[in-house]
Amino acid sequence: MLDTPGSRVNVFSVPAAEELLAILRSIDFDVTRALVIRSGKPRSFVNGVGLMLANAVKTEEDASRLTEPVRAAYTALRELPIPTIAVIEGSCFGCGVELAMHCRHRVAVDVGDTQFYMTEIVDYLFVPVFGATRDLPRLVGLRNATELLLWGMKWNAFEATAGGLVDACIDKHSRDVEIAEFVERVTLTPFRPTWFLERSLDAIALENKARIALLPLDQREVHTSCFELLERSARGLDDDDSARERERDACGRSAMSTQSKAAQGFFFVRQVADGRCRVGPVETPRTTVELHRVPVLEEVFRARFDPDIRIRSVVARSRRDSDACRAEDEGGFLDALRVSLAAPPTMVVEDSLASSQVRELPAMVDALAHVSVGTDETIWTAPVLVSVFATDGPERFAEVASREGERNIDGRDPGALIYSLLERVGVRVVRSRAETRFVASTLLDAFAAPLVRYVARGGRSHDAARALRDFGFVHTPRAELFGRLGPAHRVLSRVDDTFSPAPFITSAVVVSLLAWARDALERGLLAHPSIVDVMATDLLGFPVARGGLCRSLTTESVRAILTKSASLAALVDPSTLASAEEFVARGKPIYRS
Amino acid sequence: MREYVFDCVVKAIRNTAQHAVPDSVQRHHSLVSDLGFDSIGVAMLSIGLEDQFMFPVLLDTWIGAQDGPSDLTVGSLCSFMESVVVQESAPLSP
Repeated sequence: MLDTPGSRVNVFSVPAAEELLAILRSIDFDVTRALVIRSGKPRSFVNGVGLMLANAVKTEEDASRLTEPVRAAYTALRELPIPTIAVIEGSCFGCGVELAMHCRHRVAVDVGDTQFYMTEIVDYLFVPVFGATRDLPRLVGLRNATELLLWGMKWNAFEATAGGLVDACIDKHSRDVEIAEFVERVTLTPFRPTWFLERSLDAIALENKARIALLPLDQREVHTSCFELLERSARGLDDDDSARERERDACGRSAMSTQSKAAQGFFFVRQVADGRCRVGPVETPRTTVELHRVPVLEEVFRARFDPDIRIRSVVARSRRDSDACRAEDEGGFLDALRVSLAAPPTMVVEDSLASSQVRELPAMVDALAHVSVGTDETIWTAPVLVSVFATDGPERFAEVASREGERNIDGRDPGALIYSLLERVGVRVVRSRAETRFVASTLLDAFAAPLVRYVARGGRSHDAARALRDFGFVHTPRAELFGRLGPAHRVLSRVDDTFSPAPFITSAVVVSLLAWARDALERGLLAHPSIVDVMATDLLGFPVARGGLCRSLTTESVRAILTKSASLAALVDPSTLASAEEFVARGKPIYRS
Repeated sequence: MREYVFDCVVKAIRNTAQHAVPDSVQRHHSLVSDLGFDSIGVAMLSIGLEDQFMFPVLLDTWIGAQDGPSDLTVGSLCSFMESVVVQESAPLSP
């Protein structure tokens, strides 16, 4: 039973590995028919190995030395002479997936929390070290392996079964019976490892190389290195020992890179933001959510079915204003930008539950929610506004806006509860104290403003996109929630090295984001710099390779921008420039370390 | 300042630890093996430190400066925080 003491998720740390190894060595094979690995946490199988290990890597050899105990435990598990079955319920991230792949069999419990996600490259820019590059192509094929490992695809229990990562998807209510039946079956059947047979490896290789070529320059090496390992495994070029050695070397090289170190630091930023938004442990017991006018939010809750969260009633009414927002061509995009910035469209939302409140909100927000939450007995109204941003992909981003000190009749913080509920159903969510406009909306304005000015002065948007990509911005579908940014951001996904990076545009965007961040923090709209960072990365694709927006904004870096960028004044307004100058004059970075 | 920083660090540890903390926290105590902090716990510790020192601080730089998780001691954290406090107390740029 995996159960990391004192943590709400399982972390497969060195002590956990040593404990597993001791258990494996103590097994009496005369009386043990099979080994079943389950989690004692309700929502987590394994979330990772603990970034303190990766953070400690300073040389290529460190990766091998520091991970040795975990690799030894995984190898012992793989070589166990009896059937091994991983029962995955809850988040299965990174080395959790690798742990499961070292078992002969895997079953996944079909609940909303069961998610398979390879974090190493996507979140931390290093090559995994516990066998993923060898095992994934064999189990799910090269195409799926690249989607999972290089491009951040997440699988739920059903998708993991369909894709071949797990052998069976079982129902939560009958899980014990089904697990027993599964164990019975595999103990009676000789185990034969299967290989995923796949045609068109050359085509997959070409596709991936083309996608890698669109990435920021400093991210290409780690992606290329990882893809080569995946491809070698798919083509069967290495024996197990060679594959392990190659993977270990690649991990060591990548984990000590500057970009990876910064990305690893962003893990802590994200955790701090979560801690600041959650504001203490919030129980989300069996809960009924009542939604008003929220088609997207309803979809969010229903998409990630959780038997403990029930939708009580929904009155849905779309208020989407799509004028000029879906323009796909550059001209349409620019028109939309100019229109939206010249006269920001607003709409008035009447709070049907508190008619004295009238709020102005951006017209292009996909969904607004007045959310009522309660237990079986009571339904209370949360004076909370939720903006859920729809994207083309499965991931959503939401901002929960509530007043400071707001409490429900039961004394709970409604914003924290809504935050926890949304986080529980897989939404990337932040909290704010926004009262007139969602802070996410102002962030998008800050990002767009220099781009608009640049193009209005005759610049080409592809050149601007090239500069942003070279800086490290990555395309994120979440930014497409606003029509005015959608096409602009899509340019980022297509720009290649043939375009010339626009001078000063990145400096202007950074200065504009700095002014936005300072304003949001000083006015208390956002409670902590880490929330600023999470918003910039999740909404705009601000590079984790720079450790996040606030981390990258040192006095020195901003001073250099102001000194070198003579054309900055043409791309940002005077108050933005003044904010940056004041930041430099104060001489204090946003984070002190 | 050394004792002040130590006291603040210990308070932050007590406020954020998920495990029972010894009555007397010593500089040689390892945050990982003696006090039970993992990666997420360290992130929460940075919130505790911020509450004590009243400025935002992240600890990945400190972690990265050590040779491994076993070197993450209370003493090394105190040294790191002392350096941060010195920076914080530095006069503003002209």
